[in-house]
Amino acid sequence: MPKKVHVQTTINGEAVEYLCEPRQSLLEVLRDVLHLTGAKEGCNNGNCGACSVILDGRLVNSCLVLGAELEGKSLETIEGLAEPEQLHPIQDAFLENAALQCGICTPGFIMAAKALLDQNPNPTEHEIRYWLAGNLCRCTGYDKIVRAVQDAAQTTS
Amino acid sequence: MAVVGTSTKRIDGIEKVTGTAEFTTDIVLPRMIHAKLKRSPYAHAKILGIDTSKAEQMPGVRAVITAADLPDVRLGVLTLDEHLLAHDKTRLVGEPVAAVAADTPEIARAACEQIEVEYEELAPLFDPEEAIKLDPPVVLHEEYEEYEKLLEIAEMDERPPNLWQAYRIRHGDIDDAFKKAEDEGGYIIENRYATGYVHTACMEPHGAVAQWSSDGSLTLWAGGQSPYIARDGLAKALDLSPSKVRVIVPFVGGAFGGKLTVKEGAIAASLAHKAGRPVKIILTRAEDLAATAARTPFIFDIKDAVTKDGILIGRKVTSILWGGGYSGEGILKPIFSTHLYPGSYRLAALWVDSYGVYTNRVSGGALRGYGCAESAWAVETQMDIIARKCDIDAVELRINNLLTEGERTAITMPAHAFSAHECLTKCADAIEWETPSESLESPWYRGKGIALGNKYSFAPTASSTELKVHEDASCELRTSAVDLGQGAYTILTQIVADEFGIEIDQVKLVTPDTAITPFDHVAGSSRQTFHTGNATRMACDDAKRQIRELAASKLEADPDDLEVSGGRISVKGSSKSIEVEDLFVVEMLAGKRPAVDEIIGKATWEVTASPHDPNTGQGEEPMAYMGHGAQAAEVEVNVETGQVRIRRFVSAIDVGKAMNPQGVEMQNYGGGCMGIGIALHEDMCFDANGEMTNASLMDYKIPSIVEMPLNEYMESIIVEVPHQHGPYGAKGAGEIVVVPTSPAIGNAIYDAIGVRIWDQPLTPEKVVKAWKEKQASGNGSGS
Repeated sequence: MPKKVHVQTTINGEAVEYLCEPRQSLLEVLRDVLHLTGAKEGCNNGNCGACSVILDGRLVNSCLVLGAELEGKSLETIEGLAEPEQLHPIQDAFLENAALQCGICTPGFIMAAKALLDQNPNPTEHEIRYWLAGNLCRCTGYDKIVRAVQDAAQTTS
Repeated sequence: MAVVGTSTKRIDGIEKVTGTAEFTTDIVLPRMIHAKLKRSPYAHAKILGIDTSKAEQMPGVRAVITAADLPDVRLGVLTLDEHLLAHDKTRLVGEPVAAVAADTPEIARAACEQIEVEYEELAPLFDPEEAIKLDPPVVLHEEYEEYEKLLEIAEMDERPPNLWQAYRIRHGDIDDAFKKAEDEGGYIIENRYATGYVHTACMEPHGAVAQWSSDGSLTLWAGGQSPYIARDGLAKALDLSPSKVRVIVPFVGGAFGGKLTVKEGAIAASLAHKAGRPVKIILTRAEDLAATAARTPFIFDIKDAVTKDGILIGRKVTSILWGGGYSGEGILKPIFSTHLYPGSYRLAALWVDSYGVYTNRVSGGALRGYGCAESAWAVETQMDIIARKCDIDAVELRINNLLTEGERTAITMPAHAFSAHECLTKCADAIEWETPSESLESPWYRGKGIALGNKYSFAPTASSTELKVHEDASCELRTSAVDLGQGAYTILTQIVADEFGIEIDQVKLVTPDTAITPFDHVAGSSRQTFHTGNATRMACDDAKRQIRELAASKLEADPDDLEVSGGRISVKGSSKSIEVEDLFVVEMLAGKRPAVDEIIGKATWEVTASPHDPNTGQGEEPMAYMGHGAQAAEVEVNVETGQVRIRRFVSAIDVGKAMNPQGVEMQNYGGGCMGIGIALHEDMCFDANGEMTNASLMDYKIPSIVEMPLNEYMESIIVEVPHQHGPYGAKGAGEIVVVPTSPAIGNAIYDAIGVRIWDQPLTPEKVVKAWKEKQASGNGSGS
């Protein structure tokens, strides 16, 4: 087995260090090493977006990033979004708009929506749809997800 | 105060938006190891030998199993034709032949590659029309006659050797209907339709975690649709008593019919037994798409007799379900697909021969709409063709043929809570049916289409629930109904809150766990709101009866004069009341306990059904209820590229009573979205060896957010025609929403460019080809 890599990084505002195998994806590190299981594996090749996280302000599929790449970077995951007893406005908007069903794609959609609103606080419907085109949902038909992001944009802007 | 009928927020919402909801894949147990499957590369082959020795010697490998390690039992839904691991033959690419458990998934995968299987390749059979012959080139199941079968199929002089299902409908005088159509200036309209290979493609792949206890009992965590079907399947596969098996259902990441059985779970359990450690198995996306049951194609030959005024008087159908290596969960589809032949229409004569056959492809499973979504494609396209032939508006033609409340369909289903007319007209109004689509600049064309649909919910079936009342007047509902995302947990919570007059957060749900929660048949066939909803109301009634009896002496009143609401028991018409808490007493060191006995309401809701005669399709009341819905689409077609854009989409479904209107909207949008994918681009492709060639979410294309119409062009209409047996009048909504979608879109394409495409999906290639053929011939193809 190859020697593990030592990584020092920032996750959800906190300093974190871990050891990972050089081949391990960020998704594997999050789930199996750090027990941050909000990011899900839906395809493991970047097609579904269920593992979406925000790396140094950029939306990425954590299955396409290596765990070792996190050295010195800053990562946001779904676990860092809500304050105790206080959901993030995007989470609230998903809940209020019934923008989720089975819920397995939901953390990915919420992180993708956050990355969008961080950059573009007042997106048009087209901008929302094209931004979220990398996240697949088999349950909702997306309509309510779009509305949730529109609502969240109103609340946060 | 009433919460039934309001858009109560999902009770599982906070866990899901914070990422803390626990799915099967999130479960980690101490000393847990990981399983991978060794799968057959051949569609049809004899297994001559399996050498696992190299795999067993690899560091980190904890157990390797083959069929030799398992009880020699065949499994299946109604025809028991399948081993957990291939026994002496493999009948499809991807069939598991061995399995490994190792310290990591990577070691397990590498060990699978070290297992050497000696095969003798056999000629594969892929063509269903070859398969159904009395003298087919290949026979898949030589021992079919010896298999255990739990369902009688239609009598035949001689069974084609690859046939596993035959069902007939013989209603009215079919010859007379065709003669009448011919003699009286009517029409005979005959066409062949086909549906494609579709996968549920749930965002959560199949998986399970298995753990054995020292007493020889098994616990399995698996996100399936029925813990009891899973429990019994595991018990049979592993030769255990069902009482030795406990199935716990964590959150489920979508199912849509694809998670009825737990084949992978049983393999994980066997590995866990051999390794003496808990085992997790999670399929990769490629395995999930290529090797778990799919919605396999139907071929429909349909011939209609119609009067010159557009009244349908006879219909003759022959259909073949293109089954795979095993009959699987698709076993009833050749029967259930026939529900749509009469559908909502009056039909004096109906003659159906419906078959299912084995071929060496992926096995046929269930997928939202179970046969009805497929036959609707044929039937509702026919209705559009008939309307155009008779020069009658397609909505009017349908209305002219509708049954009325109280009649029976040609398959003896009573037309009750019959809302087809209302669904159809509301849908037509919403899409402005009377106004033709605007003309666009070439090469774009716009058109509108509409279709009607039904979904029956199966019977016999039953749901049981238990309702425990706590000293703080909160209620705990124990149910084995599964929330697959459809919102069952929220709706059941709403029911309890209403029945007890308490707040939503005073209701706790104990979710499916066969060690705790009572029997519920399955989260399938749109049955959870209807059946579990009824059982929940009844369990509430039973608990309230117990409370009234306990309170009667304290209140010095007759139990029948008491009412229970909001945590209080009051004497009707008086100010006398006590708290639910007063029925409990203080026990030293133990807090409060029930004064007499635990207050636990129990109930079972059961719907029986008279079995259908497989030779005539006639019976008393074959199903639990009949759902209705209509959908309409406006499409934009580019005749140069073949692209079809859905500009506008309307879904109008009857739910009897919208228990949670937001939940119904989600079904309308989500079902419509899935239906659009199935109609236009979802297509499992296979190479000449029978291997799926597009087993990824890049290449097996489910709709993304950009393919769906903009919000203002997506409309959900809720129709509420109460059913006499539904809780609060409710019927299910989960499947009807995909039934009319494909024909609505196909009919819209015809309206736009005047071509019919008969086989799904309606891909750009087929659109361009049909358009070119039309241009070459100078008129429309079909109709």
